[in-house]
Amino acid sequence: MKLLLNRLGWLVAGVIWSVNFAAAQIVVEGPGGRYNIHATISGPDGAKATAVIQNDFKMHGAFNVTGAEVAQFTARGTLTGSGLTGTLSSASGQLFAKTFAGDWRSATHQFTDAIVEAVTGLPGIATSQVTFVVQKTARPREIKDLYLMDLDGGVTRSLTDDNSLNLGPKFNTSGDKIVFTSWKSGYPDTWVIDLTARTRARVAFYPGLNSGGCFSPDGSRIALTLSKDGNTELYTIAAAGGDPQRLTRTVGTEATPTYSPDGSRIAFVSDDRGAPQIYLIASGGGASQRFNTYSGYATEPAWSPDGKLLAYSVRTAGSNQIAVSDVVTGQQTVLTAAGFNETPAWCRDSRHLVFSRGGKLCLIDSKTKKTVQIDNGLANCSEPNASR
Amino acid sequence: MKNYICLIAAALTVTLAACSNSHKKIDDGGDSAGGTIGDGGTLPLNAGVPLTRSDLNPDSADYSALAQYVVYFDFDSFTIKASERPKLEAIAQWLGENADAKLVIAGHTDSRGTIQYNVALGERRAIATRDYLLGLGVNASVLTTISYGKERPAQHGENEAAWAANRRAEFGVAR
Repeated sequence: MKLLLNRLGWLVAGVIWSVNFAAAQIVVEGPGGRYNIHATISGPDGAKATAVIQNDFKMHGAFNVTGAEVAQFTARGTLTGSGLTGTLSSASGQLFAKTFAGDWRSATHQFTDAIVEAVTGLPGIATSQVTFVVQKTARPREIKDLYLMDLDGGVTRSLTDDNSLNLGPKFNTSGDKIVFTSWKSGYPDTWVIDLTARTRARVAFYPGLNSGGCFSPDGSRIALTLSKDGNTELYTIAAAGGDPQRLTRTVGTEATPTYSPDGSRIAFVSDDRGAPQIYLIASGGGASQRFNTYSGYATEPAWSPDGKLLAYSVRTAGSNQIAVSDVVTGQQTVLTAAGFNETPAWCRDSRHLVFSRGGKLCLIDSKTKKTVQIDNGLANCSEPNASR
Repeated sequence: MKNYICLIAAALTVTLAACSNSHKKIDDGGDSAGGTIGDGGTLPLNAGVPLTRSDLNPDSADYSALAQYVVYFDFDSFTIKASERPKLEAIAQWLGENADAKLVIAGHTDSRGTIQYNVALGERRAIATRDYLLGLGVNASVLTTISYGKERPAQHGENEAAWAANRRAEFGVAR
């Protein structure tokens, strides 16, 4: 009996050992912190799927797409009609063999994400959805509508067609709702689209401004700017509307709240002491604390899903750049160097950000600073926000 | 004599409103952490009066009739400048002569800030404009504020002239 237990113990330890070996790759990152990967997909739509998976890795920033001879990892997929069967191998052998259900494009993105997770230990982002704004007309009246697409720019579809302004779409944590500001009534109101039920509801339409909304992590509240009481202040409301709770009381302007992932705090912008700066406040209200951005003009804070980082934009001589700071240490990295870069939003891996630059949507790897333009075939895009 | 006293009272109100509306924004350069909000100065007189929203759609308001009184602002500021006060006095007088009129005050920004902050700043400019008119004795119920941020520029272009023309509060006559 004791021998049996010992053997079971060895067996269990052996399984754990092999799992650990598969999860923690002993592979040295290539130049610029990147891994070399060779990825091909065969079967019906195989050529298109190969282009999609190679583009996924080109966009990611942690990978170089290479030929088989120099690859550290080899990914092979076979489309089956109802999905994809994929394997990932390195010099030490096969790392996984998995099947992914869905159409060829969806299954390919799932395969990408499984590979990214196996290699980097971080969740993949290729299956993320991105909601964003497209300016349809500039004159005589500005019309902007909301859209939805895959992170790589594929499968773009329209969410609103209102002949009005629609701004600032933001996903909830589960990715099935989008909160945004619409001038559909003539006034700036806060609306919520339910992507599953395919409905939308106006949740805040107080006198004045109802804008800049974002969901709390548990989806129960929306933090936003209201001006109903006579000034532009930060509030939270119930996600379905009602129960406004005022968080700030200033002479200045408060805008663009973003929750910490545990829901306890909100980062936001205030210009109460001069030019706009980023502040932190408890999500139930209280004293606010300024967050140092080393900039005289900082807006658009976005809290990373892992809670460790704040992304925001800083105004520089005539332009605007994306920066990231460690929430605890305050250590800052400015990610972009040229162009008017606006509206950073985190992807689920707390490593990549989407943002807009001159009407184009971009994806940046905050670790390598590799930036790619997302080609969705549409002009005048802005305010991207990625699902978690 | 009674009229004279009223005039003095009105003048005093205007003076007080003018002083307190010139809330000085101090940019401390952003090189220091810490500090809190709510110490940006005392609220101007007439501030904090709840807003009203007209039933009329602001898209149908006529912005041409009072176009000569468009109020302009400095960069990243919602302070009513001394140069703009006569326009607001004229608007208050016009409202006195058009007792049934309702105005939409539309706040706008130039293109240089970011989208969502500009939406809030545009509203702050509309509110600063409204508060000044309240100081001149205008009834809050005839004023509706709206912001378009940087989304509806008066002039397209990335130059000082366009930026200056776009930092504004416009008066739309509801109809």
